[in-house]
Amino acid sequence: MQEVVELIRHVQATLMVYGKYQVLFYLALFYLLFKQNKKSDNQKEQIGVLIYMLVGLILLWNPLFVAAIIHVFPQFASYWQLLWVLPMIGVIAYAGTLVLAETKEYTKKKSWWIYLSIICVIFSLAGTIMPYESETVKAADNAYGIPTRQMEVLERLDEEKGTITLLAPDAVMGVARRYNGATKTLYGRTLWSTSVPKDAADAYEEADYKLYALMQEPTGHEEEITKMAAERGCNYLVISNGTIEQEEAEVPRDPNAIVDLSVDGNLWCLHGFQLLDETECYYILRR
Amino acid sequence: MSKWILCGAVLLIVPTLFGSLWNKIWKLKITTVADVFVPGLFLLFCFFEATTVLSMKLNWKLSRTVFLDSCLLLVLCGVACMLCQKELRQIFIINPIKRITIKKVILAVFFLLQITVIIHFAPVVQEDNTMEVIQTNLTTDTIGMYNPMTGQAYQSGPTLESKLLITPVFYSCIIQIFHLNPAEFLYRMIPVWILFAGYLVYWLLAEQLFIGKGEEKQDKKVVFMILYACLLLFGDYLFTMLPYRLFHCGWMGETIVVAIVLPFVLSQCMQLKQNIEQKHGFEKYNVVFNLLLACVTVIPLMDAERGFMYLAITLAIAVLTLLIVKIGGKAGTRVCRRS
Repeated sequence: MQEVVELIRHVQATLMVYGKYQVLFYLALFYLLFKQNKKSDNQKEQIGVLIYMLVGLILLWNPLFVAAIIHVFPQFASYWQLLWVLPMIGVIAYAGTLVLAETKEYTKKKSWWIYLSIICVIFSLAGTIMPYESETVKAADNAYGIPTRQMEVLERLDEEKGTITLLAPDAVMGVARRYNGATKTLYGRTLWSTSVPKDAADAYEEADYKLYALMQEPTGHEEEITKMAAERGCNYLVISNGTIEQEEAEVPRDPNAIVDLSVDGNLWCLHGFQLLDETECYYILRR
Repeated sequence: MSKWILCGAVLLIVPTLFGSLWNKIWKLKITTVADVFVPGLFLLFCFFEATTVLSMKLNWKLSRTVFLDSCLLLVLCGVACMLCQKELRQIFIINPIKRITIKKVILAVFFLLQITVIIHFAPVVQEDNTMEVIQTNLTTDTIGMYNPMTGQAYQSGPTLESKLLITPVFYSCIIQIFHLNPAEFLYRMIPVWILFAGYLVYWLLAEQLFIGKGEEKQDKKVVFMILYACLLLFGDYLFTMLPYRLFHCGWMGETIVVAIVLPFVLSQCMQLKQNIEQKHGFEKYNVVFNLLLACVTVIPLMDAERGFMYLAITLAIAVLTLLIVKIGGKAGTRVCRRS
């Protein structure tokens, strides 16, 4: 129960940190509660909306109720999903409309537009002018939402004829089939991500997990990776040249740390794999 | 360009026709496009659910399913056009956008700005595999035979849950019919379509929230929509917010349930209450069919357990509200009588 209370508190606090729509929502409820226009035709509807939201809040803030939901439906461990049941934005807009209707009775037409503008400015200050930018929401490089660096690899592979069975770092493996359904992969996003829906009752084999683990630290495992890839029918292998890893580690670019496959006797040209092409961050080998 | 316009027109017209037929069958009120478009949208999803389940049972290819769907859609739209002429005339001729006002222009500007957000920002796909399923369906010309994550043929087969979720198949069919770019269609056109449907649902809510007639009510509804649009535009500040879902995950079934089905259920509960008080006979309860349709629509859109939980909580709160209002009303009447 303590965990549920903490969960509710954490979600409410997070909602208040990033924006103030929660504040507008509570102000809207106060308005509906204390400033009902008894002469209004819509008094019944105002009362109905108010009671609906209060009942909803009492239920969804109630740790017992939330604990019961989470116990019966573990998928609802994300408490904030339950809050979607309450049309918070609709209620704020409703209260705002009633406020504007009231001001219309007492002001001139031009002043009403000023009040509408003020309300819109308040909404923009309570929210955000620019959408929520984070690791998951970024400006689109292309319609697929695939970052440019991975897109270069996929567009290069698109030029190849025949069936492609691909083994690549996660960043490429995770988007390959989004770009082209004809590209087969040795394993998919469901192997490393629990949040992607599991469409298949098929389970991955132990070899898939081993290959995945090797691909996380490929340096020193060239022989094993190329051997397993060749045995599993892989005909295209993509490996990182180290650029992205250096950027993520936030270290100064060290040319010596970048893998250079263009030299003779490079360690990846085993079991039939030969260097096909290179992009900004990746080498593409073909068997 | 022309195929995009044609696809857009079909995505607007087909739900409208389906909805008109539905409303005619159950003698539901039609005053605006929203009254027919939203139920029509649900019917479209249910229609594709039925044909997809049939196709999967018969192991039909995607192209054959598309052919069946196209033929049936044409027939149903033809029937709707013939039987619902009066209703369609009422929506599009008698009650059109009577005049363009500054407020409606402001609303349109907000809508266009939201479309810009949808196009400018990358879709959020970390927890979604719709595009992989679509690409698999289109490449292999099958439904549910190949693992979308690897492209290999299923050994154990898809889960029951993924068999019932038809949004990827629905999108695949439309892409194949019009030969569209899957990414542009899924990540740009569909979110705009769902956003538009979201506006229509809130228009239905506004119809219930502002009782009255004529210009004043119409004016309040437009103002409500302007404020709703403004809140949507500036509300994308956290992944838990509805605007985030609409702008960055608009194609997902869960977004459709949260942004369209739940508000629709609310508006129909309010309509039902009004009908019980004011109407007679069958028209008292005919809105129940819309509620049933909304409940059934959850199955093809998202994981049924979670979907029904959303519905159950919404309906429970609505019923409790109705009881409290009734008890409060009776108590108030008794106090008045005593005094």
